[in-house]
Amino acid sequence: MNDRGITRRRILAFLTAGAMGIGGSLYGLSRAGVIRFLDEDAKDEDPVQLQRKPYPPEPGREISRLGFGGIRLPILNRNDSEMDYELGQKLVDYGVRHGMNYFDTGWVYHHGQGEVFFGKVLKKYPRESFMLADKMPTWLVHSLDDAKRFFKEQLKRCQVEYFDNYLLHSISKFDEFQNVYEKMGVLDYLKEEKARGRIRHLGFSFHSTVPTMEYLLEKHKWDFALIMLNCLEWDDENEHRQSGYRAGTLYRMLTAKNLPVFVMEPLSGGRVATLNSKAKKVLEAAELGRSLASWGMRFAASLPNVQTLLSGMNKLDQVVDNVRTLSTDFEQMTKQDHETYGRALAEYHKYPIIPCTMCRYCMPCPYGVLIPETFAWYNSFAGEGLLPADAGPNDSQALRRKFLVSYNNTIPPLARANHCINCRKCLMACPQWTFRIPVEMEKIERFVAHVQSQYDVKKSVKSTC
Amino acid sequence: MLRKIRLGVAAALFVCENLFFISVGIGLGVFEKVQLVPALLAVNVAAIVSIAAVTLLFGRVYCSTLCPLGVFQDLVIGAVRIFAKKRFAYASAHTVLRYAILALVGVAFAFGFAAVPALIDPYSLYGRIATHLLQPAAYAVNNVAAWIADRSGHPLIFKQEIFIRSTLAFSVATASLAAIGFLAAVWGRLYCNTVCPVGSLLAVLSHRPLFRIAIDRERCVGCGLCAKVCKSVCIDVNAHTVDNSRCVDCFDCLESCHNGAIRYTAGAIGKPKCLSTSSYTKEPEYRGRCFFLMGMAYFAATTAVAIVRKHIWPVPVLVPENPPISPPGSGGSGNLLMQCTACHLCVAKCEGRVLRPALLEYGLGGVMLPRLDYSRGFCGWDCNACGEVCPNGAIHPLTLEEKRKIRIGRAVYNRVQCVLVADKVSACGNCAEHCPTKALVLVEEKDKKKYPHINENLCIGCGACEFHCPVKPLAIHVIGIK
Repeated sequence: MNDRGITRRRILAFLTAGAMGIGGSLYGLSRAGVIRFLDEDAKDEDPVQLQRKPYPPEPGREISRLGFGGIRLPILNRNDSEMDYELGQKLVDYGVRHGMNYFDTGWVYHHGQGEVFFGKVLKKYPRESFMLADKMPTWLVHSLDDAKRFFKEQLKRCQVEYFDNYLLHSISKFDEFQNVYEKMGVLDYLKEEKARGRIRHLGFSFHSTVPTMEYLLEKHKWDFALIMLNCLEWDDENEHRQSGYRAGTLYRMLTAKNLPVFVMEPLSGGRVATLNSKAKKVLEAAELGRSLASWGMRFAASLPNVQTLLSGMNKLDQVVDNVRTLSTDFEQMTKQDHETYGRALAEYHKYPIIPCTMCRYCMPCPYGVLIPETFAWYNSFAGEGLLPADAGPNDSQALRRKFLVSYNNTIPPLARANHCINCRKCLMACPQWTFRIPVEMEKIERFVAHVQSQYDVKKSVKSTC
Repeated sequence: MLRKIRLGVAAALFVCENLFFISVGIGLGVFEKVQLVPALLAVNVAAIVSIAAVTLLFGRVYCSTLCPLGVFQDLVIGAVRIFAKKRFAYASAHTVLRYAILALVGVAFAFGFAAVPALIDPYSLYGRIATHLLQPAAYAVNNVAAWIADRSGHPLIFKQEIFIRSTLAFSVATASLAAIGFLAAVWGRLYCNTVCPVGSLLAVLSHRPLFRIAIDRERCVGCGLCAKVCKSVCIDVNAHTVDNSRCVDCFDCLESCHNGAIRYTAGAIGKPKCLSTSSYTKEPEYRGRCFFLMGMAYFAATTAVAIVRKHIWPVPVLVPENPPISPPGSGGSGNLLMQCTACHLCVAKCEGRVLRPALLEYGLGGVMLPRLDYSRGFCGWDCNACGEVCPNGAIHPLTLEEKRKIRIGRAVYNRVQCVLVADKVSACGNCAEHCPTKALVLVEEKDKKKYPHINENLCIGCGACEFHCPVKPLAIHVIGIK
């Protein structure tokens, strides 16, 4: 990096920009601002409509390309105990107004409040007009009775007679699937429910490996599947990737079985929407004005067998952007687009990061570590190639200071990586298996300690000279 | 002119002293080290002699410039003058009360009962205000700046944690701020001339300093303007005298006089005329010399007592049975009880947020003395700030190498509460991971779990294990040593 001369004008510019940024973000973040926007939108006589696509398992049914993800709903306080129904209702109304008809929730979302939320806010719409999906919390099921209890409670919470789509939540470990669904007979029970009509279509949400998928598709019959699919985890047919999450291979396997693919994490926890500064430059040079999120959504939605993308509705600007991208004038990605996007992704993949999607299933950590926040902070440096490392070209005392200040200011002292004791409770809940939380925590702690000691040494040498 | 110089010097020193307390820059600590009570306790002979000499020559300028509490009172009085018409009137000195308090402080100190002098020593009193009230305020400003910097993508400022280090010390600081502020607003420098042990000590020396405020009888018209601005209430207009033992040399009176009748000069004004009425003038001359000698003797004696007390025959103090962990370099709680006046400079400067004012851990005499509390951090391997900054000699300055070897406590392991037993997890080892001396190692036992074992000879009691212990109640904690 070049030396930055600090002048009065620069400082003034920073201060002004900072003040304006704060003002703007405060307004954007404020609940009142969001509600005002939604009210304003309700007056629009001809709202942008989402593209709809026929759903093969149910002839005559069309599903909007964008689905309402229920994992991060508006809340009134931090510990999820109180949902923000006023804002939530307006968000759902916004979605419906723009043609959205697929709503996705799960037993664990907002500690059970998520299902209650959809039960209440969807009450005013006729049952046939929307599709509701719910999930069996695999890792909480210890017996068949548990599963039956969960299912009945879910119907009650959602105030519905049936679920359109029902999923086995988070298939991540092969033996867990065998144990819960085959040995305990939970899958048979769910098929019974399907025969009884309380489940219209049965599928699964998938976080595991290619062999597990092979087993699932071979042994059982499904109506659809929900997988993580985004440009970052996508592998091409001729790539022969053997490690990591192979979204491309999984997609092709499902396509071969003619199962419609629902997509979760189309933006990989927001990472597709930010990438890094170099990738951003490539895309901005190619097409000005198109957001990174829009590129990511188009990538997934352009795949012919992708039914619907599920997206969290917590960030309003992103929701508006997604609706615009997946509207009736949706543009398929061209060959040239693929080539451009590939170049940008190559820039992005130069700097490896911890692929945490911020799903927060690991939270709360029993020992108080802010796991997703710590990873996000670490990635903000790693992803830009800004980690101060011994031999790195970017290493400097200023960068070390920036790194340490950022850690100090982002993560509170009692929630940092050094409080991870490797108890592995998070591993039970983490759907990602390409990295292990305690291992990464230890690496981060060691790295921070290393940078700290380097910074201190240089500082003390300077002060004694 | 003199008044302006005094204002300038006082402002500069006050800013430096406060900046040091709120932790900006390490080099300004010299002004804390030359405060009288800390200098006496640390037997800083150069400082003691300089203060004595300056006082003998120029009067109590110390009280108007170097003393942070004195300057703080001047600020309060100045503020009152802006908003209201404040007039003072001459009052006689509370001599008996004043020296009784001084004696009490001396006795309390001699017997290691630090709480009494700690409460009224002006430097320590102001130090606690700075540590518990000013520093959090400064941190709040810092954190707003850090937040703005973070938001604009340039994280350059470390956020500081704001928390109440001790409810007692916070309350005492708030109460003393209110009390001193009130006293100053209503009665001027009453605290300095009645309660303050430093004021009393210096008063002995300044009964007749070489340069002093005096009234020229020939020019004085008896308007009393000087007495009205005198916050030490020491100008008796009717008798045309100034009580120099109470005068803090603020020089406010010089500018109040329209006739130039009140002046700061060497010796008395109008001596020749006074000489003619011999009986009237001889007495002050004689008294002045007498006071001078008495003051010198007194001061020398105080210094001698301080030296003896510290180096030759330390007074046996009551050390509690289970002492808390005292700072590294304090030489145990006994030394701390004798030397510390709880100015909390070390508390303000502690990088690990570990030093906290004690409640009754040191006994009744050691209320508010610093002790180590590992709930928010641990005693840093690369930090020796407390010894570096201590002006009292209560915590000796140590090099990093020395400090890393000094034992301040010992870790105790309680297996029943350990996360391996209580939570039934298979592995933890967070304590061993963070032990800087490797005194704590993991040993595999029959159940294939690795349990911590402590090597008492290597443990220095830094508290890294206690801070990182994940369970409550703690399975590993550090206890003080005698």
